[in-house]
Amino acid sequence: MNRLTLSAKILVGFVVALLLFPLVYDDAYLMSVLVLACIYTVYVAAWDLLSGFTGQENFGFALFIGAGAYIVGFVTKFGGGIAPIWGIPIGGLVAAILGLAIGVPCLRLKGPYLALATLAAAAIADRLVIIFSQYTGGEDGIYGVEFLTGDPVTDYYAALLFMLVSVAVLYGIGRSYIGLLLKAIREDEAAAEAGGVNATLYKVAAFVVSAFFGGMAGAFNAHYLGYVGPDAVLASHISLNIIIMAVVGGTGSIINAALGAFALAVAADYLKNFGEYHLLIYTSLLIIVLLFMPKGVFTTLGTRLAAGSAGKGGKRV
Amino acid sequence: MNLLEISSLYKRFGGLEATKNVSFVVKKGEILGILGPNGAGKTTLFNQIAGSFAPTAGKIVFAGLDITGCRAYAVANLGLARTFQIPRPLHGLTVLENVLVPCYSPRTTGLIGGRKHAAACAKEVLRTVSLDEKADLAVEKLTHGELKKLELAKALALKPQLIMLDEPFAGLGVQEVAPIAEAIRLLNSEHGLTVLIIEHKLREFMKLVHRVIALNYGEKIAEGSPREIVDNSLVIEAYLGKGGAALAGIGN
Repeated sequence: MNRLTLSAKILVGFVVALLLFPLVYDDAYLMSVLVLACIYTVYVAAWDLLSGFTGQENFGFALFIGAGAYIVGFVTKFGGGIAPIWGIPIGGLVAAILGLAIGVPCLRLKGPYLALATLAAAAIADRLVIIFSQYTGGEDGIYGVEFLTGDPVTDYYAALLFMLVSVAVLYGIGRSYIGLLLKAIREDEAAAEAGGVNATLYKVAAFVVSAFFGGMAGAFNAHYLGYVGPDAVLASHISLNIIIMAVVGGTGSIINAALGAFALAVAADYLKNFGEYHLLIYTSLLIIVLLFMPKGVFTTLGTRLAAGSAGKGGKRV
Repeated sequence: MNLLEISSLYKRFGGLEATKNVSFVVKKGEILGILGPNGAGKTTLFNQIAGSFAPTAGKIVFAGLDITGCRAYAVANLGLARTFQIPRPLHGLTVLENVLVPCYSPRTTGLIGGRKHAAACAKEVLRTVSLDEKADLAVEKLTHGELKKLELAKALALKPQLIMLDEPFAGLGVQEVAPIAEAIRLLNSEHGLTVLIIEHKLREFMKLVHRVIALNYGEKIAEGSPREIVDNSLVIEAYLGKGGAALAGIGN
C-alpha cells in the first residue's frame, strides 16, 4: 500500500530538485522566475478548487489576488508598514471576506453568466483603483511594501515552502470527502441535494477558501516585489492567464493545474528570448496542447503513466 | 401512524394548475402507489414533497415536522429520500463515489466520527441492490438497468424512513424489473421502509403496492386498494376516455 505510483515518484523527484537547485546553481534571475512561478502555482491551485471542482468558473480571480495585495499596500501606505508574516494571512482573510461577498450573490449564476459577473467584478475593482488613485497610487501603485526577506535564496525557499504547503492543503481538500461533494455539485446540483448535500454551503465555502489562498498569494507577491500595482496583481490578463494555465495543466485535481501553472510560468519567461514572437509561440503551443490533450497535459500524462506502469511494469512512457 | 401528510396542496405554473387541492397520507410501513396518465402531476407532486420547489399553497408534514417549502437537502437529511425518473448519475465519478455522496450527508454520518464509515456504508448499500461488483466502474459504463439500481442505491444510502420512487421500472425488461421489485418488497417487509411509488408498469406495480391513489389533471380522483382502483370508473375514464369506460364495463 505504501509504494508510490510512478507519477508520485516523479513528482517527489521534481520537488527535491527544486529544493536542491540553489545549492548547485546560484542564479538570482532564475530564482526570481521560479518565485513568480511558485506564486502563480498557488493562484492556479486556488482557482482550481473553486472552478475545477465546483464548476463555478471564475474569470476574475485577480480580484482576490488584488484584494490580498492591496490590503498589504494600504497598511503600508497608511499604517506605516506590515511584516510579511502578518501581511500574508491578513491578505488571505480580506480576500476570503470578499469571496463571501461575491460568492453569495453569484450562487444562482451558472456558466457564461457567472464568468461575466466575476469578470465584471474584477474589472470594476481595476477601475476603482485608477479612480481612487490618491489612496491606491493609481497605475503607479504603492511602493515601499516591506520585503519578504531581501535575500534571493531565502526568498526562493520561502516561496517554495509557501507553494508546497498551499498546494498540499488544497490537494488534501480536493482528495477528501469535500472534493467529492464539490464534484457532485458540479455534475448535478439537484441530484447532489437529493443526496442530502447542502450545495449552497459548499459552493460558498469553495468561493471563500479559493479566495483565501488567492489573497495570501497576492499578499505574498506584494511582499516579494515590495510593490502593489494593478499590473502586478489586479489586471484582467492575470485572471485569463490563470484559466489558461489551469486548463493546460488539467482541471479538477489541484495537482495537474498546479503543475501546468509552474511549467507555463517558467516557459513564458523562457520564451521572452524570442522577442516579439514570444506571444505567437506561446499561444500556438497552447492551441496545440488543447487540440491533442483537451483534458490537460498533466491529466493525460498521469493517466498514460498509470496505464503504462500497470501494463508493462512501468517501463513504457 | 401517518409518516407523511399532504393537505390541500396546490402548485400553479403560470395559468397551469399542476397540482390542485391534493390531500392524502402515507402510513408508516406501507407501500403507497400513485397512478395517473402522463401530465397528471405525479412528478410535480414528488418535487414539491422533496423540496425541489415549494408548493403554491398547502401543507406537507413529514414525521410530525412541517417541511413545506424546505430545501431539498434538508428534506433528504430528515430521511425522506427520492429517486429521479430519468437516472441522474454523477458523471466523472465511479459507482462507489456516486453512493458515497449521500453517505457523507449529515444524516448518514451523524454528528461526529461517522465519515470514516462512509465507504463501508456505500459498499453495503451497493450490495443491497447487487451492484457491488461494479463499484469501481465509471458510471458511464453502466447499463440503463444498472443506472436505475444506482438511483435506488443513492436514495437508500440516506437510510431513509420514506423513499419516493419515480418510475423505478421505466425502460426495463421483464427480467430486470423482478429483482428490483423484490428488493423494494424486501426493504419494506424486512426493514420497515415506507415507500411512495409512481409507476406505469401496472402488473408489477399492482402486486407491489398496498394502497393506490390516482391523479388526473393535478387532482386526486380516487383512492383505495389496487382492486378498487382498477374497477374505479373515473380512473378508467382518465386512461381510456368516456367510451373506454363503457367498453370496460361491457368487458366486466
